Amino acid sequence: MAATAGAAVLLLAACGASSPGSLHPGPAVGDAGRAEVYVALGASETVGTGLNDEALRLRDTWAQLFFNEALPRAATMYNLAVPGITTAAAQQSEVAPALTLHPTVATVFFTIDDLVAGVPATDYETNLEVIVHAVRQGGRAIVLVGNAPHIDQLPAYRACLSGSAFCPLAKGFSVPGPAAVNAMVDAYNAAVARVVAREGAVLVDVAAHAADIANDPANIAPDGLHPSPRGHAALAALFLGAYQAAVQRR
Amino acid sequence: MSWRDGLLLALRSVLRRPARTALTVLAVALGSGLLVALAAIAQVADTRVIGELGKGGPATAIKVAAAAPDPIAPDSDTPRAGAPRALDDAALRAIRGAPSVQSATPVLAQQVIVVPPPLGRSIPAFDGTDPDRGLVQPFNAVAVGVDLNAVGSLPVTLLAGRIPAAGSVTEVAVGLDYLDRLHLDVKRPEAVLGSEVELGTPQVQATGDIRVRARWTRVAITGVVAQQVGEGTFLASSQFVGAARSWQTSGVDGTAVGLPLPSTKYSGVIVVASSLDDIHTVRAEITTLGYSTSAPEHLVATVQRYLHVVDIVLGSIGLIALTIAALGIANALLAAVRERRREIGVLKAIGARDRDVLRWFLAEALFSGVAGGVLGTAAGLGAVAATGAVVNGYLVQQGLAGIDLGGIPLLTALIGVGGSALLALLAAAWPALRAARLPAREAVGVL
Repeated sequence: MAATAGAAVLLLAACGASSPGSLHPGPAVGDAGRAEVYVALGASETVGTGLNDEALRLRDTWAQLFFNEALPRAATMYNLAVPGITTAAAQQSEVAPALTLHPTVATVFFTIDDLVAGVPATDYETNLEVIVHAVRQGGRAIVLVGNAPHIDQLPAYRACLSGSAFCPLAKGFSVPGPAAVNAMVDAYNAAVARVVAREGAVLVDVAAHAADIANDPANIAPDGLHPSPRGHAALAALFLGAYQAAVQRR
Repeated sequence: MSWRDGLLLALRSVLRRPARTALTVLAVALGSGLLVALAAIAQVADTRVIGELGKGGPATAIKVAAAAPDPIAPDSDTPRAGAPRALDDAALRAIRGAPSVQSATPVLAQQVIVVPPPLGRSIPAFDGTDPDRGLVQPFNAVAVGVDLNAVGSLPVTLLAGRIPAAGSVTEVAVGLDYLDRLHLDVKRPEAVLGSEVELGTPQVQATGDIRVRARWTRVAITGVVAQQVGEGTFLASSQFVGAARSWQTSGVDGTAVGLPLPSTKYSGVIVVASSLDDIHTVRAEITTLGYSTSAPEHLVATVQRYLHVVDIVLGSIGLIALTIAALGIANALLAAVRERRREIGVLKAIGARDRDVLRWFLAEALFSGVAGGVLGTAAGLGAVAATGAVVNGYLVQQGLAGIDLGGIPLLTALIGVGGSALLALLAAAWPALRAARLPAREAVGVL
């Protein structure tokens, strides 16, 4: 009986061992486009920290959305971001492997972790410039640099300010007041603007839209710090708009 | 009396008894039609099955595993693989160099993270209660990579669409399990054609805490296949899988997180022997090289035996039908001889020779044979086409590839008509001889 069934299967397999093509017409597969190489450099928000569900992390991070929306099918994306990394550490952990991939598009989004680590704006500027300069490869790649959002409205910051247990920072870590934080962010963003101007990169002005994003609780993940799927979509839209404008200018 | 006179006389006799003629022609048509239909079906079975097997086609492919041979039964159809053994370029060269090896195609396999559509901003917004939002969860799968130029010699059956373009890094074919994953009807594989899916390859970094990075690509699904090349949901070009594999192997071993580095360059090799008879020898040679092989050689032998039995049965049915048709012709002509004794006597009395009478009756039988043969052959071929359409409809409905019955087999049609004519002449030989040898006096004296 088993042999009969096996014979039938083999017979069908032999009958059906078809050459490419004939049962249904080939599907309409559009042009795959240019074989762009996209590297995403950044920290926790680029990895998808805060999106606790695996499916959300794989589908909804802003870098993933940007890749799927902005780049053609022939493009390849490498997400090299590392949670909690500063611009100084990223030069080894992210930029070095990125250069071996010869990217044509790169997004650079380092902000909060340098801020939390207390990196002075001047050092941040120096480190960021090293990253952008290297990744741009003399103009071979379009480099999009995101600036820092104002964080004074974030639930996590406000929790730390009030000493709530919800604060994600280590115990005993005191945060400066909103005015001081905003001044630091402004200094960082001025550094980002100067680096972008000097290196011929593209500014993604997250700060300009931070109030819209951070003031809507639906845009913030349950940890009160990172973007929710809606927040990631908003970030992706900012990067997408900047990229499309840059491509048009080219 | 010339052949022309004989034919005219036969035609007049045929037209004089139209009902009997029609029944005789129908009997011949039935016999020849049945034989033609059975012969055509058997021919298809032979050419598409035995032919493929005999050439050492995809159904007889030998799968070489990256493992040592099973010490107990190395030549069984599905042996247990022994200890892992790397399949590298040196092994591939050795296999290719073995006698009676027609081709050896290396197979790559790569674990991938699959993010099914929708992708990008078309993902429905997350409202905070259901992270899945009714979407299919991302899942882990394996992409199998081969030289798609050689797909004709691999055990790959195309069920819908087309095979990805050779060397393409943006196209893949999927197995039916992909449709299962997406909760789609496997009987409608064309539903996924043209859609895009995102595939990620993880890479483990050696920096303190184990960290995983991914390389992401989007690919279009061009076809749905049933394949025995390797265990995998996706069939892609070796270039696509090779690039993904290079990314993973440039990281470190991640066994601790379920992402071990591959221990062999090729996950397998598909070997095609020069002929069906060489499969056993080639398997023995590869076993000597130290690799486990599997091939359906016992199954193939069983199929061949079954097909021979089918041939015998079909041939017997056809012969019975033809014998009945021949008896019908003989019976009709015997009746005609009895009816026409007076005509025979008169013809002989006015000078007709035995061979003139013989010619008359043989021409009449020839008419029945040719007419019945033409009708029967046409009906038989029509029956084959109808059967093919029904079988193809069933196979496609079951998610299998259809059978190409090809055009009208000219040789079968000619044999159908010619054989019917010859059969009619043979069946008519005895009645015609009897008529020819009838003495004129006796024939007329009967009256």
